Amino acid sequence: MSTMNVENLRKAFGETEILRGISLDVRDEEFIALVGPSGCGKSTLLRLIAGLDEATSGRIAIDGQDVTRLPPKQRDVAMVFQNYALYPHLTVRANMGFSLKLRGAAKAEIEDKVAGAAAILGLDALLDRYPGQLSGGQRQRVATGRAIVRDPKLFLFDEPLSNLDAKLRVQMRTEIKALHQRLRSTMIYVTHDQIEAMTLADRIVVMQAGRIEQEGAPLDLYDRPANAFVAGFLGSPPMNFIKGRLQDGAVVTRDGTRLPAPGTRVADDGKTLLWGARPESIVPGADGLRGTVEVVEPTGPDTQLLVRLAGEPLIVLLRTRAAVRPGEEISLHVAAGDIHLFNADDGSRLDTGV
Amino acid sequence: MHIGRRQFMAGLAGTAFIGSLGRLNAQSVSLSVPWMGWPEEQVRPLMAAFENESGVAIAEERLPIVELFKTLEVRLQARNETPDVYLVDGPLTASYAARGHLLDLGELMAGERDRFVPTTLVQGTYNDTLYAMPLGTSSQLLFYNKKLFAEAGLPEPSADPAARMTWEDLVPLARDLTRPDSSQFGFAFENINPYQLLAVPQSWGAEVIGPDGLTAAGYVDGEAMVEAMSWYQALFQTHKVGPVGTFQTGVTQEMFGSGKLAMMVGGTWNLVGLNKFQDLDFGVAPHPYFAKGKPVTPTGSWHVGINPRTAHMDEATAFVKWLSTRDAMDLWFELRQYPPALKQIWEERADTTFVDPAWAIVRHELAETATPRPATPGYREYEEFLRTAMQDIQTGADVRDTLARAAQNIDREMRKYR
Amino acid sequence: MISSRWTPYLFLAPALAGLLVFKLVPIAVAVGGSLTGMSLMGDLRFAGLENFEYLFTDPEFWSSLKITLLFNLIINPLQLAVAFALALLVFQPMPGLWFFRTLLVLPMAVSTGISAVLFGLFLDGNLGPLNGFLEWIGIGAQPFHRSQEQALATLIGIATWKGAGYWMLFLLAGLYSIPASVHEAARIDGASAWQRFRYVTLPMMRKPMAFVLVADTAINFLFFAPVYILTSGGPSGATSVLMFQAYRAAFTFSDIGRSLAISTILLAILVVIVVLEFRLLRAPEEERS
Repeated sequence: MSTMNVENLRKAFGETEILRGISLDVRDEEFIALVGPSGCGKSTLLRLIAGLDEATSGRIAIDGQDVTRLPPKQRDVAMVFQNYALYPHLTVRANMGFSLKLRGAAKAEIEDKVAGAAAILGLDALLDRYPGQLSGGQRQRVATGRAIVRDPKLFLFDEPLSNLDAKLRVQMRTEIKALHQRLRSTMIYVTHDQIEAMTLADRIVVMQAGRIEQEGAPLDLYDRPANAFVAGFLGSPPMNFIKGRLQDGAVVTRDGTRLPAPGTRVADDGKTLLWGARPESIVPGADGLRGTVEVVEPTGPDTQLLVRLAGEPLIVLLRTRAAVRPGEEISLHVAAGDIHLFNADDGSRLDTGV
Repeated sequence: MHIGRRQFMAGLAGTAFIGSLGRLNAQSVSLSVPWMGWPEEQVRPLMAAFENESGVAIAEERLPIVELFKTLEVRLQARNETPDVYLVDGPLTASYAARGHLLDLGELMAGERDRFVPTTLVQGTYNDTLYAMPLGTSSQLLFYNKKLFAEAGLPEPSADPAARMTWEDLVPLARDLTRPDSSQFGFAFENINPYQLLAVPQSWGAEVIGPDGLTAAGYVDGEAMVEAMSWYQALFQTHKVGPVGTFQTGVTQEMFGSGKLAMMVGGTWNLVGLNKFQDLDFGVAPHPYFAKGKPVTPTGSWHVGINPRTAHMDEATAFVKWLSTRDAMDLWFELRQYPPALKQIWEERADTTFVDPAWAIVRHELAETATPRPATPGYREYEEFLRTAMQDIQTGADVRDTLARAAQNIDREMRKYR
Repeated sequence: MISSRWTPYLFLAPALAGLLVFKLVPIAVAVGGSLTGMSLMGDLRFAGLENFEYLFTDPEFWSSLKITLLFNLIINPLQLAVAFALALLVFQPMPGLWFFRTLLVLPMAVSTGISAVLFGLFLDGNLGPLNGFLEWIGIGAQPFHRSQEQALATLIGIATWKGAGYWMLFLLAGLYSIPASVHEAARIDGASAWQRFRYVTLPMMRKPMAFVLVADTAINFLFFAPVYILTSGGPSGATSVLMFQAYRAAFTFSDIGRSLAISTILLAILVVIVVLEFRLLRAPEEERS
């Protein structure tokens, strides 16, 4: 039963400002993903919440209690590190029980809680091993187990899966999701992988250059990105952008191609806009935009095309096995509701009202 | 070896000179000669003089005293043709000779022996054979600071060997000259070398080694030795007239030179060595003795010997022979004022370099009281243990135990010579 | 195919040759030489265990053995502790850190011989400045290396002055090799500064500490120059370590066989102690794998 609130949090190292005023409220049992490119301040924010670094100004509260100046010990948070940070000289059992031992818990209680966490994570057989004898996925589980044993108010994850190979990452992602559903604890999860964020989080917070760009439910952010940065960051392959001038209900590109722009009154004619469409929302259709296929990449379920349109490269993700060849002309269609328009100067979204 | 510009120029001049005499061929022979690490200007001219005369080059190596002994030990034990000629510390003659490291000089020096001061030959002799030619000798004097005597209102000691001070008289005198508040001490021996200190038990009447030259038990730890060394210890521990820690010449000379020590028994080399203290006004008197015993003074110095395995026997013998000449010895005295080994130099140099009364005292001592160190092939072992014992005794170790331990160790090491 | 089961050895050959020529052969020569004796005139003969028998009946040898062990028993843990304390001190970021680090490793740049000579002057009872200072503050002059009671401790002090900064470097590198995240994990787990040191730093420093202890032991068993320069094994044998005995046997008593016998014994003791030290400091996670 824990909430976490951050108010106007700032962090500077000398002249360099890492966080430029972050405010965020995390509800009880919520799973929050902090995403953003490297250097955006997401890990710093997590470390401030954990108490590993001290905020320059602002306030952090856990369960309503101001913890801004408290050491980690008194915050009752647990953290899973990117490199797991296991104690190499201790067995899995001792690693998981370490915090309880420091707290002076009874042997039986430690034994009990470690066994419980081990059962959840399937670590029973590994309890007497040392970290050096474990695989990457097993170490990740131990690091998670060390957090679970604590039964903390807040779980913090700092890119916990980024040291794993792709296959294992998908598997562990599912495990963490299941864990959250089982424990119903409040979790804050830092990642640069937007798929992890999309699949795991109740709410995603997108950060850039020390600021929050947008926060909200994953699909809301995906469907209605507040700006071109968020639109480009979420989604893989990323959204296509083409620059043009608004004219008579269309975005006219440099070479005169007219891209459909729904919602006639978004802006005055002559204004420079970014026209955006996600690769999977572009489909073949008669009387559409004409482009030339340059590259065809079949992946099994999908076919990814690189199409030259209006002189710009455009990624198209087809859900079919398309019988197209490089060099062929193709006609493409985008539904009005799938077209995103952004101000070219500040990247902000223009509501098409469709 | 470092070659300075001066040597280079000297070498150049020398080469040109020799070349003009058409002796270039002989230059191919070069003798390897380990030598003491005296200043270069006290060594090179002697070598250069021989080079000029013979055409044989001398490659001398100037080594600090400890290094010299170590280097010689290593090279001689390798038993090959190097070194050709080397500097021998008098009492080590027996040690080298017993191990076959010295050429018998009997033939070379036949008919020359009368030219030497007799005690100087003793140290170069082992089993009645002369193995090492004496380059000079040494003696010990009582040095005293005239200013400190005047301040204390005390009469200066007499320079007349006949009116020699006794140790019994010296102790109260030293006490009067000791000022603990200004760290001034009354008396010290220059160092703890047996060379210097054996004169104390010998004056007491002690035999410092068995008649076979190989037995320490009953001598080194004998009753007379224990009594004499207890007297020595009392200087430092009971009367506190001597500064504990005066083990080496450097420290003691520094203290005497800077007026922190009123009297010092020290070697003749101090006559020159003390020159560097400009404010020092010192006098010399004969070495003290025990009233119940007889006057004894240390003696002995550097000798020169030939490696019997040398590949240049002719040149090596020529070099040693040349060193024994009047001209070489005179040049050597010019360079470094050791009391001469040749009677002739004593005559010629009287009243020139050693100012009176030192010259007269030393001459008297060498003739009357000089007692060479024990002639034993195990002198290195004997000296090593005895020096450590002297040091320990000065710092307050139990005299009887220390000497007993030294005697035991010496005897263990002497076994190999029996 | 060129490759065969000999290929790895071919690649190792230069290193193995070096090991053979520079380590194993000298050891073999030393051990072999300890079984020989030389007559006064230089004739070498096989002496069997005579040299060892001689040593075992020599009270000087036993007292020297005792002093060597005592010396090492004190100096090795002491140097490790001092070096560790210094490493922790300069590990913390603080202004002017480079200055203190330089200061601490400076003694390394002074040769052992020179540092012994300097300490000899510094501690001298008559001319040395330290005793003047001690008298001035009322403690009174100390004999240091001139007294049977203080000599060994003085040498230990000099060696530690010289060595601690050097060993500190290894421990400092060890401290840097502990990932910061492990310390952070411990902080989050609720460990106090002392608990982090006790449960995280100390156990994770096992390897560098084992290295330092073993290397330091090897060096200190061969401790020689300050003994030779300052005390000559005295006073009354108080600092007569085995290396000094070996030196004296070879260069003063011309008894190479005995000297090599002492060296051989020294080597054997050293091997035993180093094995024990490795055992003692072996990390538990390595015992199992």
